[in-house]
Amino acid sequence: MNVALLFRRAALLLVILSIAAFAASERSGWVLVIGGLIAVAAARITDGPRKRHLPAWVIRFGVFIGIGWGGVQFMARPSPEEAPRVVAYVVLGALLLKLLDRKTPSDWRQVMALSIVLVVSSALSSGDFLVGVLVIGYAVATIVTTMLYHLHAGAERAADDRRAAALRPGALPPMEAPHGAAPMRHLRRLAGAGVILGILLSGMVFVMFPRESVLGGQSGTKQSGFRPDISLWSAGRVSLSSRVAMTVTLLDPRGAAGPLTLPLRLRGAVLDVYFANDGKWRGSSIHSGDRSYQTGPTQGFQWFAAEARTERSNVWTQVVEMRSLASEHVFTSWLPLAVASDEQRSFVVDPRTAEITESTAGIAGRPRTYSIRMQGYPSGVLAHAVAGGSPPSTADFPVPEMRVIAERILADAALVDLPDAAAIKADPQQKWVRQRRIAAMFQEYLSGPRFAYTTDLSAFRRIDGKDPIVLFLERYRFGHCEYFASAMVALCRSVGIEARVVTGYMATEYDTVSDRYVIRESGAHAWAEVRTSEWQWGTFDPSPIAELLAIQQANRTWMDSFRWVLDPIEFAWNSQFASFDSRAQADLLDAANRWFLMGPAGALWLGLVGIVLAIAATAVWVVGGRARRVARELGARNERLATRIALGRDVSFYLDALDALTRAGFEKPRSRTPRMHVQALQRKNPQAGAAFSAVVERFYQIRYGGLHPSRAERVAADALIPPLRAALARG
Amino acid sequence: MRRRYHIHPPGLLYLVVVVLVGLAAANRPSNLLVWVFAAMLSGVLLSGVLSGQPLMKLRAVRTMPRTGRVGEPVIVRYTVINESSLWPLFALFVRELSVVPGSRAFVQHVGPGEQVIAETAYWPAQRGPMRLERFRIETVFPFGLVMKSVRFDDASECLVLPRVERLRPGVLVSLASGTVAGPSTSTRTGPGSDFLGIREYRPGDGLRHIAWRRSASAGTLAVIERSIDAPPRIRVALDFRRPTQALRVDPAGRAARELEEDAIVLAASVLSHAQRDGYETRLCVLGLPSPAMPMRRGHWHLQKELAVLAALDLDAPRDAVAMLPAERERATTLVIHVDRADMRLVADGAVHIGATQLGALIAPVSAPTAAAAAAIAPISASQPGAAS
Repeated sequence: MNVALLFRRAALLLVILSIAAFAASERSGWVLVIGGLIAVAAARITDGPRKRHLPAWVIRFGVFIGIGWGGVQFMARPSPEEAPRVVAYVVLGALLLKLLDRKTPSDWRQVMALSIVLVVSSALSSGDFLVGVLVIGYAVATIVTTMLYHLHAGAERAADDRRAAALRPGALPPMEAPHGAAPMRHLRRLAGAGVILGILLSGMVFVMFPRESVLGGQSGTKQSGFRPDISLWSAGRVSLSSRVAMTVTLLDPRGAAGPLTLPLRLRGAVLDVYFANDGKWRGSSIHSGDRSYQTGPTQGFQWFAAEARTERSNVWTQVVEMRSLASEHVFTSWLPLAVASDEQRSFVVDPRTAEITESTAGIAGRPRTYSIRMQGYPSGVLAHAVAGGSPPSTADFPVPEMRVIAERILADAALVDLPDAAAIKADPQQKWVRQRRIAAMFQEYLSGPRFAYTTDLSAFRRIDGKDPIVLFLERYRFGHCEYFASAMVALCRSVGIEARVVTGYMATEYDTVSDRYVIRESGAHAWAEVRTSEWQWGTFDPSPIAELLAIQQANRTWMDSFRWVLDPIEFAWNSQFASFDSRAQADLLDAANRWFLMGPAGALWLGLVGIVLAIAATAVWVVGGRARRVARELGARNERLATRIALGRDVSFYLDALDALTRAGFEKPRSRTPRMHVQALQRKNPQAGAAFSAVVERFYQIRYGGLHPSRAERVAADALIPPLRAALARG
Repeated sequence: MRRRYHIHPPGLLYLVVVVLVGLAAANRPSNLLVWVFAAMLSGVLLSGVLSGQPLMKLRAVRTMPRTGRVGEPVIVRYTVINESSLWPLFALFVRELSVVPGSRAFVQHVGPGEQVIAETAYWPAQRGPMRLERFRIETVFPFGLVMKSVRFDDASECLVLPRVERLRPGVLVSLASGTVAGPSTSTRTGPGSDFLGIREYRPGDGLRHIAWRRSASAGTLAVIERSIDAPPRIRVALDFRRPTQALRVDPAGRAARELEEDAIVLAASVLSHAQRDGYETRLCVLGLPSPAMPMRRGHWHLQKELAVLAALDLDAPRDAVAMLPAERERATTLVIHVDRADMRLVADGAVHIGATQLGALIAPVSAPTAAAAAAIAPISASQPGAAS
C-alpha cells in the first residue's frame, strides 16, 4: 500500500479546500486561482523526481515578512472584524511558502495546521453557503487525511530508525512497515465510520451549543445583504453579492401581475433607536402592542384591522418567494393590511412601525412564501386602524453636535415660506407641511454632489469621541446607503422631526417573462421614513440612486444567470442551518419533550418502536456476525458482503458442525483443511469422523463445486449434524 | 496488561485551539463557527473511540534470540495480534520500557483477527544477561490528539556475549609458535593415517584394514588400528584472581574494571579465532567461579565458552590462590592477565599477555592487512625448561 502517495494527494486536496474556503469567504476568484495554482505547482516541484525545495531561510524570511505585513494591516485598521481576515491572508502566504519547503512529516503537520487556521478564519469571516459546504468538505477530508498522515509519519519514523541503524555495526536491511491483509479496505471503512460518527457527534454538539441571540441568518459584515440592524463602525469594503434573495410578484386589484414601479422598495426592519456609543441603529425593544396572526393553507388572509377587510380601492397583493434569504422579517412595499401563507405560520405585527416578523421559525425554518395585501396611499382612518393607539415620538437624537449641523444646513438652505411655530399653532396641519419640506431639503442636500456613494469604506477610520454620522457629514462625506439614511434621520430628529431608518431591499430588476421582481442581495438598502401626517410616514431616500444602480450593474456577471440552481439549496442552508438560533433550539427541545410526554399510548408506541429497533439491531448483528465468521472460517474475506451472507446461509450446517466439534474438544485448527481434520478425527473417533466426512463432502460441493442448494437441500444438509453430535457424545 | 491514555502535547495544543474557537463561536453569531467548534470537539471523542476501542482486544508476544553480542544488533520480534472481530488497528509503535538503546518497532496495520510480526533491533552495550521486562504498544492514530497505550508484562532474557574483535592476521600462529600446540598424533583411534596398533578382527572391520602378514603368521585375522589426526590445541586462561580494587593500573589509562572487560574481550576474540582456524580450545577462568570446560572444537563449544565469559560476575569474591591445573594433552597455554603477569601461575611453558595489549592485537579497520606478528610483544614467553 503506497500510503505516502495517498497521503500527499489527500494533503494537497486539503490545502486546496482550505484555499477555496478562504476564497469563498473573500468572494475572490483570484485567491482561488492563484493560491490553487501555486499549491499544485509546489506539490509538483517538491514531490517531483528531483524534490526541489526552497531554502529554509527563504521560507522563514517570507513568513516574517508576512507577519510584519499582517501587523501593519491590523494596526492600520484595528477592528475585531478585520483581524480574522488579516490572519487568514498571513496564514495563506505562510501556507503557500510552506508548500515549497522540504516535506518531512513534521513539515506536513505544519501545513495541515496552517490549513486548519485558514479554514477557521474563513468561518469567522463568513457564514455563506459556499463557505459552509467547503468547510464541511474540509472537515471530512481532514478525517481521512489525518489518518493517512499518521500511517505515513509512522512509516517514515520507522524508516528513519532503520536508516540510523544502518550506520551502526551489524547493519540492518531496510524493511517495509509490516501490515496485515487489505489495509486500505479497513482504512476506508474506518474513515467512513469516522465521518458518520463525526457528523453525528458534531450535529449533537451543534444542536446543544448554548445560543443567546437570535441570528439573522447571515454572518459577516463585509457582504451585502439584509440586516435587521446597522453598525456604522463596521468599516471595510462591502462586496456585492448577486445572489437572488427573493422574488416578488405584484398583483393589481384585478389580480393581474405586472410591474408597479422601478425601483421598488421593500420594507424589512424599522430602526428607530440610535446608540451613540457604538454607532448602531436597532429596532425598539418595546413590543407592548404587538398583534399575532396565525396563517395556514386554508385560512386565507389574516387582516390586521376590520376596516382593512372592506377596503377595496388600490389594494394590491404582493406574493413573496424566498430564494436564498431566510429571514424572520416580512418584506412589504406598502402599508400591509393582511398576510397569508401556504404553511402553518405565526406572524407578529408591530403597529407602531407596521413591521411584520415571522415567529414560528424554530425547527420549521423560515417561511418560504407568503402573500401580503397592501395599500399604497392609505387614508388616515385606515392607517390609524392598522397602527392603533398613538405612535410614540421618535423626534430626538442623542448627539448634540448634530443639531448644530442641522441648523446650519437649514440656515444655508434658507427655505422660504416655511411654517413657523405661530403658523403651526394656528393650523396644526402646517406641522406636517413643515416636516415634509425640511425632510425634502435634507434629502436634496445629501443626495447632491457634496457626498459620494461608495461601498469601499476602508478609509472611514474611527475617531474616538466622534460620532460616525457626524464624521460622515463633516469629514469623510462618503459612504453607502446606511450612512445616507442615518444622516437623514439624524438631521431630521435633531430639528424635532420624527424620522426612522428602514432597512430592506430595493428591487431594480423586473423579469417580464415570469412577471416578477428579482431581488438580489446587492439590492439590500436602507432609507429613511419621516412622519408626514398623524398616521402616515413618507419615504425619503437620500442615497444617490443613479450611482447606486451603476455600482450594482457593474457587479453583474454572466454567472448570475445560473445562480438559480443553487438558490434552493442556499435557502435551505440559511433557513435551517445559518439561522438555527435559541428559539429553534427551544423548539427542538420541546419536540423532544413531547416524545417523552405522550402518555401511556405514546409510551406503548415508543416501546413498540424500541422493540422493532432492537430486533432489527439483533438481526443485523447476527447476520453481520455470521458474515464475519464466514469470512474468517472460510477464507472469504475478499468476497462481497452479499456473497458472504449467502454463503453463510448455504453452509450454516458446516459452521454448526465446527461448533459441535469445538464443544466436544475437537476444534479444527485454522491451518488444517477440512479433509485433514476428518482424517485426524477418524483416528480418534471413527464414527464421528465418518459423520463429519459426510458434512465435509457436502460443504466442498457448495463452497468449491458451485452448488447452490435449494431449501430442501439445505434442510437435508442440516440433517447431517445430529448424527455427528450423537457420535461425539458417544465419545 | 494495562491500558492508559497519555497527555500528548499536540493534543493539548488542539484542546486550546478548540477552546478558543468555542469562545469565538459563543461571542460571534455564526452557526458555521459553532459547527466548526462542534466538529473539532467531536474530533477528540472520535479519537478516543476509533483507536481506544480496538486496543481493548490487542495482544502481543515478544520473541527474542537466546544470545546476542555486544555492539551487534539483537533482533527482537513482536507478534501483534488483533483479537477484535470488527476493528482494525493502525500505526502502532512497540517500545520497550527497559532502558535499552534501540529503535521502536512499527506496525502499520493489523486487521481484525490478524496477526502481524514487527521487528526492531537493540544494541546491547555490555555483556551478560539482557533482561526485557515490559513493553508498550502505543498509538496516536487516528488524529494524533490522544496517545493510547497498552502495557504488556512479558519478561524475557537474552544472554549478551562479549564483544569479539577481529585480531590481526597471524596473531594466533605467532602466539602458538614455539609451543607444543601444533598438529600431533592422538592416542585415540580414528580415521587417521598414523599407525596406532594391531588388534583382533571384529565383525564390521573393513578388508583394507586387515594386517595380512600378521594374520597369516598368527593364524587369525588381525586388523591395523590407526590414530585420528589431532588438531592444534590452545588453552586460554583468564587471570581474575586479584580483586578489581587490588589491580595496579595506570591512573592515566583505562580503569581497572575496563581492563577486566578488555581481558574478557581478548579471551573471546582469541577463542573465536582459534575455533575458526581449526583449534581445539579450552577456557579456564582463575579466581572466579566458572564451570570446567573440556578441550573441544566446534560452534556449540565456542558458544558455551563465550556464554561462560558472558556470565562472569566480576563483583563476585575472588579466589586469590587458584592455580591453573596442568594440561594433560599437548596444548598452548595462553594466560591473559588484567594488570601484570604472574609467571608462577603455570608450571610448564605458557604465553602471557596483558589486557592492555588488546588494542595492539586488534586489526585496524582501515588497514585490515597490516602485519600483525611484529606488533605482538608478549609480556613473556616461557618455554619448557626456560628460566622463569
